[in-house]
Amino acid sequence: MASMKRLTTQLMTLIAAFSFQSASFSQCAAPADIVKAPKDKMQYAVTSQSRSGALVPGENYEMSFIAQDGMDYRISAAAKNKDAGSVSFEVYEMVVQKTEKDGQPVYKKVKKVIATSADGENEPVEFTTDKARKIVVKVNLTGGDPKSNQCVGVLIEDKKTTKIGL
Amino acid sequence: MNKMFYFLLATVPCWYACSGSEKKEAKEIEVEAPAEAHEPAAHKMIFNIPSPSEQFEIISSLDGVKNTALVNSPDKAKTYATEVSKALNFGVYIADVAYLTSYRETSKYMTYFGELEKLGTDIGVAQVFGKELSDAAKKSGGNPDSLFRLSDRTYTKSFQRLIDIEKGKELSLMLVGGWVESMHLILGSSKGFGKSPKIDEVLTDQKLLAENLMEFLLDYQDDAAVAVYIGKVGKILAAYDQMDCTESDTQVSKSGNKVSLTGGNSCKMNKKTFDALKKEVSAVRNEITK
Repeated sequence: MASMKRLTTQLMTLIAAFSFQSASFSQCAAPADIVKAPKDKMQYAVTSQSRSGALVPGENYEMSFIAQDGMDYRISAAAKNKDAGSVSFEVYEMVVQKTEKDGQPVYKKVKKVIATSADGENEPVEFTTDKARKIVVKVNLTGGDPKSNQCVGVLIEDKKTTKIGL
Repeated sequence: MNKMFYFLLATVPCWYACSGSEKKEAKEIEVEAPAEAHEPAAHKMIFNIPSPSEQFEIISSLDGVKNTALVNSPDKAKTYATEVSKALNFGVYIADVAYLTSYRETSKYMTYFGELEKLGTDIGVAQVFGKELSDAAKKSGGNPDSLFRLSDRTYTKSFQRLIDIEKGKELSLMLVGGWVESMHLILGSSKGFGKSPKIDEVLTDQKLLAENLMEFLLDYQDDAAVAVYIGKVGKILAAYDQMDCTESDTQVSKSGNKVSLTGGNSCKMNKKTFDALKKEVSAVRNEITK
């Protein structure tokens, strides 16, 4: 019900805000048109933090999003064209690590890898968090024509975490 | 962009983290190089924040109180004469509509649509969607399931297309207006510091959103109006310096296909921060909506 409220809000807002002619300005299709979300009964909904863009094979692209407390997330990525190459991604968080240097505490932000997509398999990554976090998705496109940009979508879906227990 | 960011980081020493298990003090934090030598260089990072409706979906079910008097009156829309005030208040009204809808105040939110359309037309963002969306909405016949599927896609599309058609400045100001109004509504929904503990947590989490918003804005800092609001958002962010923070390692565990994240750096709202946020947000919000 809450998700429906959210989506209805978004729709109504956008109808009001973005009337007039349809346009094909975007370089790439919307993430939900590129990445086919798994068909299941998990009740995930596409979030506004999903993105798509033109990527060059062999290079890394990163996007940061906010994972909210009390939500489960599912991340998937794919290329628009099947012959574009293989899309893989890594999900990580930057965390502060405390070490010592000359007896003094030194704080360093380091990468903590949460999950990676399986090589060659476009399996989504699902995670749940006990608090809000800033999460980074690093996307890599390999194997395609290095001279040709390819549209890649990163789909971020969420749903309310199911509370376990009586 | 990075230079500006690290300058801001230096002026707001506790944006990112807090020291050990003891209460933290301002300290320098080195940032590990994101790419190793053998890896291809990463392109610049894209920064996202949840839409107001995604936030209010959660917030409306927490321990705050509904207060529809908090929203900005749609009657004021005609008084916004400059491109900057129109873009900022376009964002404000989007957050207001999200807030009203989350509390099912349907009669109130309907009054906002005409004003949103006018403001959107004036700042040149109305062409982004339109026919495609309204046609689809008509076809849905008000069916909640159809609306559900449709609107998820359109919000994301609008964001991307505004960047594609070089409306990044307008999008930046809209995001500032939307975030400041969201903060104003969250603070106004609280029964007071400590009396709505869940709302206190949401306010704490807003620091992460503000950081990502700041990163987004830095891409458009060459625009004078965006630069002004980088300073104002920075001032709100500085209010978070007074939070009580502790550190622990982030734990990553896996059960089946699902990863669970627990622990990590954690901050708690306190009265000093709550009051400082209220003061700073109120000042910026009043300036935007006056």
